[in-house]
Amino acid sequence: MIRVVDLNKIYTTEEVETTALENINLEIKEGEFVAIMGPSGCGKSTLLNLLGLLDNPTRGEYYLLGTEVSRYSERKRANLRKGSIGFVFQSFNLIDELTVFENVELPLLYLGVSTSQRKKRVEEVLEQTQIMARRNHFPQQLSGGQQQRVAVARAVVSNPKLILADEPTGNLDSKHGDEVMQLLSSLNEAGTTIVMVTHSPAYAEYGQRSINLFDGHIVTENIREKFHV
Amino acid sequence: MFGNYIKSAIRNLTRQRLYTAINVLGLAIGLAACLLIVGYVNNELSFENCHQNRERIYRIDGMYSLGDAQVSMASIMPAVGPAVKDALPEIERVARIRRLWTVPVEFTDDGTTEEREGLAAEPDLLNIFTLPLKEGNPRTALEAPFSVVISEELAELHFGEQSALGRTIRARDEFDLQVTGVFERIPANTQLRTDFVVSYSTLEKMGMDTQSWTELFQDYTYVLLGEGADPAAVEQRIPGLLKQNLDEDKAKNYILRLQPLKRIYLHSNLSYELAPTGDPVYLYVFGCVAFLILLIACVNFVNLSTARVSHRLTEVGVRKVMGALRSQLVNQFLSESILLTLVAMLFGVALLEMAKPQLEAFIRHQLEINILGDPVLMLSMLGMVVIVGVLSGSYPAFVLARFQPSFILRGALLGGRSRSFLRRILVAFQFVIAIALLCITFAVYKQINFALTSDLGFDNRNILLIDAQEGVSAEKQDLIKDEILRAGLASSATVTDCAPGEPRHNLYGLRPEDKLDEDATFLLGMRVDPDYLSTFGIELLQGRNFSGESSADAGRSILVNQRAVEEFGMEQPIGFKFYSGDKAYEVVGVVKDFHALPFNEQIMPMALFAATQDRRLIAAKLRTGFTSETMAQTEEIWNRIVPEVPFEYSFLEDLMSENYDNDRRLGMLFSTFSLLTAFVACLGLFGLAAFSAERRTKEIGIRKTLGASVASIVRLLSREIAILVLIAAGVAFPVAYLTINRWLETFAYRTDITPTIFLFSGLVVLIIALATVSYQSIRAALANPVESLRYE
Repeated sequence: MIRVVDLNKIYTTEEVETTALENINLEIKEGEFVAIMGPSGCGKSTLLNLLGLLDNPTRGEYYLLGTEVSRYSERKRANLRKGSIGFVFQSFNLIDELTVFENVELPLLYLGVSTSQRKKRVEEVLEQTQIMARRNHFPQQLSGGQQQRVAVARAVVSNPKLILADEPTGNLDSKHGDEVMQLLSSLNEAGTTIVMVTHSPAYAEYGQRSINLFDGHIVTENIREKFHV
Repeated sequence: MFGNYIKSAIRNLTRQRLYTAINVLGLAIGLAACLLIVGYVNNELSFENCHQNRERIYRIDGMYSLGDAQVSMASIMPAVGPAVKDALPEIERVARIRRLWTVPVEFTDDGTTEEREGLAAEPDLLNIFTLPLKEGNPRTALEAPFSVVISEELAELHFGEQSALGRTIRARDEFDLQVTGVFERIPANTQLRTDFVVSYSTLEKMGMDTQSWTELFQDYTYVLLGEGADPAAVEQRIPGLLKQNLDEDKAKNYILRLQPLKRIYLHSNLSYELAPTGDPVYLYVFGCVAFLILLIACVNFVNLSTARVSHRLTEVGVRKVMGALRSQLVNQFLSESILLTLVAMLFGVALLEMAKPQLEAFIRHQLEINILGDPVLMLSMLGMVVIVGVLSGSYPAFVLARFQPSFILRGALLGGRSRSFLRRILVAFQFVIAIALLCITFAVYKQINFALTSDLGFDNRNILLIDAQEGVSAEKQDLIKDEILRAGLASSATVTDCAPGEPRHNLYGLRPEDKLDEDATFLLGMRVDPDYLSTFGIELLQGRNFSGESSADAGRSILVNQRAVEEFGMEQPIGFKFYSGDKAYEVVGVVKDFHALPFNEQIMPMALFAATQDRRLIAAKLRTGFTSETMAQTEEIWNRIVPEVPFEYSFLEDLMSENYDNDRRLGMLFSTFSLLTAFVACLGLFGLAAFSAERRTKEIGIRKTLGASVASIVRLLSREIAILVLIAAGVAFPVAYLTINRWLETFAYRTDITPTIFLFSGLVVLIIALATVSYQSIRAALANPVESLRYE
């Protein structure tokens, strides 16, 4: 599903050049649940942004579903993003002015799905993530765990093949964190590929594989015996 | 999708209340000003459009050489109307209209009396012009003597629900007029708007002249040309017509021209127009200033939106991550700004309704601005909403839509250095406009004040002017004057045809003795008696005044002013002769120059003719001012001598003050607009200060932790604004200077452009600006530093 070859990302400001990622080689198969770990500033989020087509690499190749996409324009990336990739962020990133329902509906709007189908699909996902009762609430009226469930609902509403989660439990207490992990895990069981950045070794264990980054390099890759079946 | 844009726009706007309020208020003021201008321009350009035949309607205007004086008038002698109709087949219809001044009208039904202004007109008035009748027969309504067609308003006021037809109205306590028709509402944008029209045949019955070829230039003569008739050809045949009816010499004195109805309102500027005319200059002045206010409001929008970009970044990021295209985001933000503009437009319309009466007072007639009923206005409103919305929304929209989602979601804000630089430029630009307008306002007032306080060369205080034109013989004029003096009411009195400072004047063509073979030169002329100089306090510099023996100097002697002495190079003015035809006038004295024309106009060479005839005015310098007792006594003298003529009078000071009305109103307009401009600019500044204080909370917190005082923080936040105002002043001053200079050039006598005008304007704007930001600065500076640090 994902293959990156010699991927580099260098940030340049007026005076400083910072290498965030250097020569990353990585392959992720369909249906895998991969955790990316590493200390702060090691390049985890940068990698996730590149995988999620939120940014272009400075050098290297990126094959998504067999297509080289590293030089895609913003427009092409946007088109590929919607529908095939779902995102979950540490800080939830819900739009404050939209209700739970409207936040979850947003990806379908940009996909041009009809009103009736949107309603049906959003309600389905809200049921699945057990947040249906709060559908007309605004994000500020929800607890952190509830907000993240909404974010997950929003990420899966368009049935993407890939979900990228950037420390989805980082802002949650352990109870809510567990809930979110359960949710992701069940999505993975249903066939969705998940790439998750996390600080927590415990949550990394939900994945079949974890990749450790340090100063922009992959240092280790562990394949776990344990499968969640 | 669009519904979603609107939804999030509404929620965003309601959440950011200060931002929304500032933008809506500023844009509303700007839009209201623009709407008012569109309505005003539309109104001015649409004058007389209500008449279906407007392309074929012309008015016959006259230029006369009366004696030696020349005058162009909108009204002509009464005999012309019927004559052109008989002689020129191209003229389909003719209607003579005569103004009936204000007459007390008594409504016999309810016994009330009111002063109303009406017209007398021939029956074809209703065929030439589109003035439909609500009641009555348009063919016959103005046929019979003593018929009257009244306005809808009068009919409702006095006859209520009942039909007005057949009712009587008593005019001047003398004539019973029978109502034969009621007009439908007459639009405000025609000069024919009137309260009532009496049949022209009534005039004859009242003993007024309706046949003269040489006198009574009071008839506004409108003609309807046949389809395809050439007005120039018609005009060319008029002199021939005059020759048939007048002797050759006289005929030469009249030039009659056809003026298209559609040009009259904006472009005709003759003496005695039927109704006030418009001035195209105001269209430009109004237009420019309204545009500036709207521009400032748009600048506010751009500034505030870019300043609060950070508030929207998460949303932009999330939407982008969800697959929103840049164009979709641009569309979203544009919908938001258009929506905001739409809300502002609604407020603007309300403001417009509030401001309309003021503008109407300014242009001195009603405005036909009907927003819902006028497609032009409706379309311009929609156009304005879209243009302003897109104009002010696109920059923020493109800025926001350009951000890379990865940046946004990581919470790393771009430096925004270039954006805040742009904001500063835009704020400075607003100040430039505000300061420049303020300078111009001060200059306008300074010039008006200069005109009002300058030495005019004569004394206009306590001068009573009594209209003694019609029905008062020269002997009786003198008698009234003597009686007023004898009763001790006035210290001095004179009989003349023109008082200095009156708006009217006559020009006399004279040839100086040393240039008899050249064309006559025009001098300003007044027909006066020996008491003219003492009544108006005009100084005699050389020679003598006219002698008290009334006939000794009449028709023979003149006084000239200094300007005339210079103009004609008279080395020895006394005894110098001027000729009008063969008739000689000898200069017997020289008077000091005085402003006989309005102060704004150059002093002209002038001749005062000793005259015992052809005078129209008794001017008396009252001892006590205009007390009711003095007026009653004067009226009593008048009624004793000429009881049949109404006592009509005015005060010279009032008349002269009207001369400056235009300038005064211009001054008012400028001060209103410059205050509005400053207000809208400060609105934006207030919002910016709020955001800037918010943005700098961390800096303020750190500074305070390190021991900065509240005062030093306020200074820090205010310094930037002060610098901006200073830079703006540097740009505004030259611009204002050049504008003021150009405007002052239109005056013959002008005030100096002093540095105070500029310094004061700059200071006012600086103080307003500092006061505006100080609220936010002080609030930010007083806050507990821990809070601002935690906030970050």
